[in-house]
Amino acid sequence: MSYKTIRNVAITVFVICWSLVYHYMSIKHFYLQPLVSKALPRVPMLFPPAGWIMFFNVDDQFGEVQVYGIKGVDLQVKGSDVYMRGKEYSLIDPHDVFRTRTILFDNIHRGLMHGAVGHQKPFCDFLEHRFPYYDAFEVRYVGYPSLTKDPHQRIERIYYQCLTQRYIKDELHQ
Amino acid sequence: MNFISKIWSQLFLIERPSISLSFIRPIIALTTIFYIGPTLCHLGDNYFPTAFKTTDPSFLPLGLIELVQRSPNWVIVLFVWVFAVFSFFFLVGFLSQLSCIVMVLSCYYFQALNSFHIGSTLSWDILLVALFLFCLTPYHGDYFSVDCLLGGREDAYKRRRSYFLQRLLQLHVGFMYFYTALYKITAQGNWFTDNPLYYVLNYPSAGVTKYFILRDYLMNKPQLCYWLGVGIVVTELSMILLLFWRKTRVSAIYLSFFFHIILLLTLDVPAILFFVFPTLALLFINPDYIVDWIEQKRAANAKIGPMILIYDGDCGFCRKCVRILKVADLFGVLKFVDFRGIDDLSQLHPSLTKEAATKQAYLVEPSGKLFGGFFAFQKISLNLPMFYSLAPILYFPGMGLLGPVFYKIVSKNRFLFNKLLPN
Repeated sequence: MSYKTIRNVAITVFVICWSLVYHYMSIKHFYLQPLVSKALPRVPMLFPPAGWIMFFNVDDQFGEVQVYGIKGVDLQVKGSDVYMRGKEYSLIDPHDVFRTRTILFDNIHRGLMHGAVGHQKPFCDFLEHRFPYYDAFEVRYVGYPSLTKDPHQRIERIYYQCLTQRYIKDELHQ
Repeated sequence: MNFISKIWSQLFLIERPSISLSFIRPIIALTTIFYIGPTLCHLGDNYFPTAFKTTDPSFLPLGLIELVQRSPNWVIVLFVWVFAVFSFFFLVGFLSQLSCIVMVLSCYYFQALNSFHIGSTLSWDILLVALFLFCLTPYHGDYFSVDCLLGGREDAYKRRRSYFLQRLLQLHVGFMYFYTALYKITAQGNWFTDNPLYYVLNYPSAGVTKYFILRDYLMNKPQLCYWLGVGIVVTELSMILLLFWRKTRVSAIYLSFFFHIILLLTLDVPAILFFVFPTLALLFINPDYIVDWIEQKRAANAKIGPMILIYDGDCGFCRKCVRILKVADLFGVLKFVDFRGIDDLSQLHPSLTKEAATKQAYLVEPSGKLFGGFFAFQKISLNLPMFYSLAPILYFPGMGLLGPVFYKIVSKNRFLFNKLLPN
């Protein structure tokens, strides 16, 4: 067999395999898995696990995450629960929380903070590392249930609060 | 069977010039640098143990993540340098294939270390697929690269390679448009059943929508937003056909550029989309047409009369530089003359003497203007596409004073520099 034949066979095999894998991973999550009603194997490290989805489902509600730095903390113990109330709250600009500046777009506006709040312990530790002068932090969710029908309706709730390790060590152990 | 074999051959196996891939390579490299680079500016925030990290076991194998997570700080810093060096090599096309592979591996390393900034976007996945395909062959280093300059092939711009890589990248672009549109209207997509564009436009200031000129008008027009959304989906769905059908191809490429410029101006979406999609859409231009166009330009320049570069043929370093310039001279704008072979240099320019020509290279423009030494190379940088990127440096304020000094240093030590260049 000539070099050209071997090359053509190799290219043909690769193109067929690549195309199969490419389209399998493109439709696996939303089309194939519901069809067979079980989790199918994935090809790691190259294709998005849920297929090529982008702005595919957008609804009328919107939510954002706000982080407050707290100075001065009042603690109240009721049974096994501990309640915290801060004396001085400062809203922290999310661009100061995550300082990585992306080029030509704003990562914070893409909802980067949403990806962080689910990891409470590491996020609190990181906040303490970034803002060592606060005693505690409060992470809040601000939601707009219907932006088009009632744009001014705003729901605010606390995701969680975290005391800094420094505050626990310095103040609570005294 | 014969028919299928012929079609298959036309689609993937045929050899065509690789110049388009070479043109795309620096843009892909820059996109990767723009994406990964900013995360490396704050190692303490992003990668060191003090960082906020997330991992993505649905994308990367758990074993790899655990291994990478054990990295001490010096290994992280080492990988920063690996990425910096090899992404630059990939950008300039030095050891093109190897540098692409190492750059991609270092990207995986950072993604395994912390997928919070890198791994969470579709645009990164799109880029990663393109990068993976680039890793497969060295075709992208055939032109617009240090590799081709060192290789010395004057016909490097028309080097023919198997077309499969370019075809797979074309299919990648086409199917990206198709699948993203398909998910908008099937599965959980709501672009036909609801009015997502209208909602996005009404997002508050913290949302993904930028303040662009028509936003206030559109955010009060739900009907118009709906039909705009339908228009976007239909365009995306048909893009693959528009790109592959010869008659609509050029319009589809323009449409791709327009679409992504609008996206960049209106939404805070990763700029990768802007760089990668329209750039890859350029791969739909038949490279044979590009080479034909280059040949026409070369023929036209030969008729007009090229610029004449006068050099010392007895100097090995000068000969090697001329060889590099011949490869870089895509449009045939230069004619190279060894002054040792000419008795009367005043034929080329009245003020030119042999004594002067031994000291530095000279460039004579068709208009008769003469440029010597550094200024000759300044002028050349404006005329050779491969050196366009050097022009802002060579014309930087102050270079008129510093440039000739550098030129003299190189000229005096040309025997040393000669050893650095390959034979």
